[in-house]
Amino acid sequence: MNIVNRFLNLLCLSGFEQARGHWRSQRETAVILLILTLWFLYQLLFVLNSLDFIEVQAWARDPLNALIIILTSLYMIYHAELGVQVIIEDYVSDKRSQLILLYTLRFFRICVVLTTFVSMFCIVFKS
Amino acid sequence: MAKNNQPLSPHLSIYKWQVTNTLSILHRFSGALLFLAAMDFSIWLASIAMGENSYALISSLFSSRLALAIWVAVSFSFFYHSLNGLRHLAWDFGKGFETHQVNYSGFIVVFLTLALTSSFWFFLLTKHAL
Repeated sequence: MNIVNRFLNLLCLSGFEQARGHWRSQRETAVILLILTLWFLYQLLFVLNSLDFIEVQAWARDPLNALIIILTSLYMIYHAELGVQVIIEDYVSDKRSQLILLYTLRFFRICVVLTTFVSMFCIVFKS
Repeated sequence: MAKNNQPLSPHLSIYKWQVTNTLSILHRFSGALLFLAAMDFSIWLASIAMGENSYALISSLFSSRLALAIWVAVSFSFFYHSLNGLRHLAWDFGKGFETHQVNYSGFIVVFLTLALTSSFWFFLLTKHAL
């Protein structure tokens, strides 16, 4: 059950997290992101020889790379939403503006999640 | 709708500036900037998916003078947020809470951030010559 919930949270398929759940998720995603972004830095500095289209496309098309790229993007925007959610809750006291900002934030995250999946699907499966 | 009684925290404008709260607010600013960078990452992925022309367009946009200045800020934020995040994780385990430890680890984080940011750009520019 727990693992299912975490998966739904990552895919942006659940509501805003609160209190203890939020605290836990923020730390978990932070640790996962440390590993994922280190991987990306390593790829950028030591694996990719150039940022030319052909090479970047071939790099992103590799199944393992593609999987890690998807996870990196999803965890980045998940962790980012958790963080900005707290900023909004801390500095905006008017409940209505708070809600509007939170749903705007959620809108941007949904855009990122969809863009990530559609793009990576096209990169890997389009000839 | 009436304002609720939730306290607005922390009181940035009246709080005495010192190492701890400066680094704390910098953690939030860098996090907010990294939110925008996370969105750019998906734009970059979309440009790869849409083919060579879109990739060229996004590449030129992302390597303009203004964009490079923003990337420097993003890389600084990235290293700062990661290192300071480790500091936060240590605090979550109840370690390093004494005043002198907090100040000391803060200076270490700032020093390492500057070192990592500059070496990152040194490596990237010698390799890719943007």
